[in-house]
Amino acid sequence: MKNLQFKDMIRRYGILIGLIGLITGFSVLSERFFTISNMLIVMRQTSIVAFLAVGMSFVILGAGIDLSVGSVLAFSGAVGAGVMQNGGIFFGILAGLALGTALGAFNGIVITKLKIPSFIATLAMMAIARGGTLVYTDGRPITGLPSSFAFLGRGYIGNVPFPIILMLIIFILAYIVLKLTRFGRYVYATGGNINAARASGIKVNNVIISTFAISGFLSGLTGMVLASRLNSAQPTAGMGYELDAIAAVVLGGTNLFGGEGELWGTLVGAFIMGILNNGLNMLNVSSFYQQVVKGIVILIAVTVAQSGKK
Amino acid sequence: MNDLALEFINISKSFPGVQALKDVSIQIKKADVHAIVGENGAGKSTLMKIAVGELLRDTGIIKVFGQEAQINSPSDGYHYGISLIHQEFSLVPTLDVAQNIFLGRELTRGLLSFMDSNLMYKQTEKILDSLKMFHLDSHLKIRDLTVAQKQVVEIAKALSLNSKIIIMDEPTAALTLEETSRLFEVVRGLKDKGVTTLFISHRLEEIFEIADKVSILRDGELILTKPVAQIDRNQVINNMVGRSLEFIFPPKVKQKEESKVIFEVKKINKERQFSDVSFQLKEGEILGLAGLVGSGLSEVALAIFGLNRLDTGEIYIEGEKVDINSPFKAIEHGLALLPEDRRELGLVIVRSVLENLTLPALYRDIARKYFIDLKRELLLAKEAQKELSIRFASFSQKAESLSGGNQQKVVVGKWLLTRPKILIMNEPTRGIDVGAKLEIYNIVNTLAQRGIGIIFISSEFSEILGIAHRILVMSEGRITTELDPENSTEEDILKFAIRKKVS
Repeated sequence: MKNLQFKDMIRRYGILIGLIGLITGFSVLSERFFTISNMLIVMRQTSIVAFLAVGMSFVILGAGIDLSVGSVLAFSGAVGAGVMQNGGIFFGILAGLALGTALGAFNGIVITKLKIPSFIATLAMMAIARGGTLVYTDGRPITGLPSSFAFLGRGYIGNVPFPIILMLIIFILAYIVLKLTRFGRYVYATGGNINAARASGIKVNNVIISTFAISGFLSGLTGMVLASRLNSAQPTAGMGYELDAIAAVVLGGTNLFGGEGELWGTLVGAFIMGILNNGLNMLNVSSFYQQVVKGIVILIAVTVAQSGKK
Repeated sequence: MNDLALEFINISKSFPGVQALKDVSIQIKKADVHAIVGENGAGKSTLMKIAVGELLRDTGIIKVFGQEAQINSPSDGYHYGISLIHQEFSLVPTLDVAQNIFLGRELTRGLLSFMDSNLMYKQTEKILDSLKMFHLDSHLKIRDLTVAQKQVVEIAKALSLNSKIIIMDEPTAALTLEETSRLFEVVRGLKDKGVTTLFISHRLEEIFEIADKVSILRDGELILTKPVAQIDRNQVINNMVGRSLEFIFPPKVKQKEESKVIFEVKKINKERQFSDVSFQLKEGEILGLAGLVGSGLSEVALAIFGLNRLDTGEIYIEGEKVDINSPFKAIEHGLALLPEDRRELGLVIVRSVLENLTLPALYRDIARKYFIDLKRELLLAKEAQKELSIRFASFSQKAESLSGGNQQKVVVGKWLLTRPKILIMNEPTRGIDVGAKLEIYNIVNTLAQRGIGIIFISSEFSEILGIAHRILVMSEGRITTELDPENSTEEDILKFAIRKKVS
């Protein structure tokens, strides 16, 4: 019985223990690591993956997967930046968010109406949106953005970078939606057993389309934040980010087959990814090795999580 | 006694809450076709699974050709030359006939052990020829075969494994008459080769056509084993049904005299599933729909609830014609469905008891606009728990951790919270123990008393007789008769449930 509780603890909080372990480890190895300024840098870096991972959580809890977030991010960022050049900041951001949401919803419609598995539908969108970005930008960065647009990615409120505040707002909103609304309940139910959910009167197609639209919206938002950070929209922005986002969700203990998982786990997962990047940089580990380390960490984390089950 | 192929000696097996087999002893002669019959839940499939080692017996001995056999794991059956052919096939749809037959033990040749495809196709064809299946091409993919052909492939696979005893679990359930007679030719061919066949079937006429002997199981006990020549159809039915009703059904609630019709289906059709089904349901009435597995009753339930589209026909609720194309609509019209497979359609087993209980009611009752009223949710869930006396440790417990009976009550509870007018219950007592069954019957009576119209679907005829006000029997997609439970017996129901279409 004691043993069982221990295993349950590991499963529930193992990821948190892992995060604390990582922070402790890097703090010992590098004295520059655990400082307020570096922690704020880590959090700002993490925010990018965190936005995507929150959206990805909705999708994966609904038993789907979204491989297109990196490409949708780039396309939304480029179109948003393009509109901004003449239309101003407001319409620029609006265009970026709207395009991201629309592409996400399109994913959902393809998945539910054409009954194409989300892996394939979003793989196609990954190519389409990346291609769209290259066509729209002609392969060149879009620059010359209004100077006040810089606030979104580089601004501060007090001493805290704005993206961190935005990340917290998004996290809290998403948490409320998942835990306190009917829609959130439906996402869990649909991902847990789509047939039983449908038989309980849930319009499961709408639920699935909505989760992908949310993922698309947050990809669009990430695209705008990234464009602001870099003061330009890069056609190659967000390449490979889908994998970081999926890794964060899975590290956070969410069941890849849907129906089970907590949003705080995703946030911790995103932080683990961010801290690994930052800490390994500080230790001057080459970026090539960093990839290897990240992969190994994912394997270890998932193995530990599974060993906790039964 | 050297001519015995298979001997069961005092086999017992129990599952939590049920004694599935009690001291069953059967002797099966070499090269016989031996039929095993019994009602659903009589223990036929359990015994067959024990014979091949898919289930482990609690006590008892199995002898194969006179020798005591150590059959303790699924591969042991093959080892002793016993093959079980399931209703669901274990073939790989994307591979062809020969590839399936030699799956996992491909023939090879040469130093590098390349697969010897030629030899495999040749051997496959030899086996198929011996089964007189000249038309079956060994290069065809399994997914392109008919159900009957797949069955033959399974048989061929068993033969290629040198099986001397082949067990078929309801092989004809999905076959047409013509395919059935083709299968029987194959079975007779097996007999000529000295292969022993165990044959489970619901269709009595088939047993008289093909079997040498019949063993009747009831409630986990062997009732008798006799040559079919020495027994007639009625005797078989009487012995299957028996006088076994040990649990007492709660007294029936009287229906109100002047209760009005709240639900009616008129000539509903769905190709290959059911045809021209019409019936009425009154307020507070418990309408029993009886039929064997495959009768089309489950399909009717799914279609009424909007999970399957009807081809033609009309549905009326309180006299008004309705178009139900989704469960959402069905619930809106006051329908609720307790599905046959509660893990697949009834519950989200990875989620909590609370979330399962309130899922369908969230939309209309518990949530205000978008937000869930958590207090009200818990209050309603507690009401349902109390009313149905559902037993669990905590509302946040996962539904999968509950016992079958309590899971079923959670499904009942989730529908009660939608305050339905019509409740369809499909096999509501399947897979739950006797005590929980009785509780379910009591709940059904209480709900009927409250005026809910209940459609009670079951293949356990004793419970239908015990609970329903009126019984409709269905066979092969059609309603074959209406019976009054007060003046009917299980034999009466069974007669109409297995009646062949008069065409």
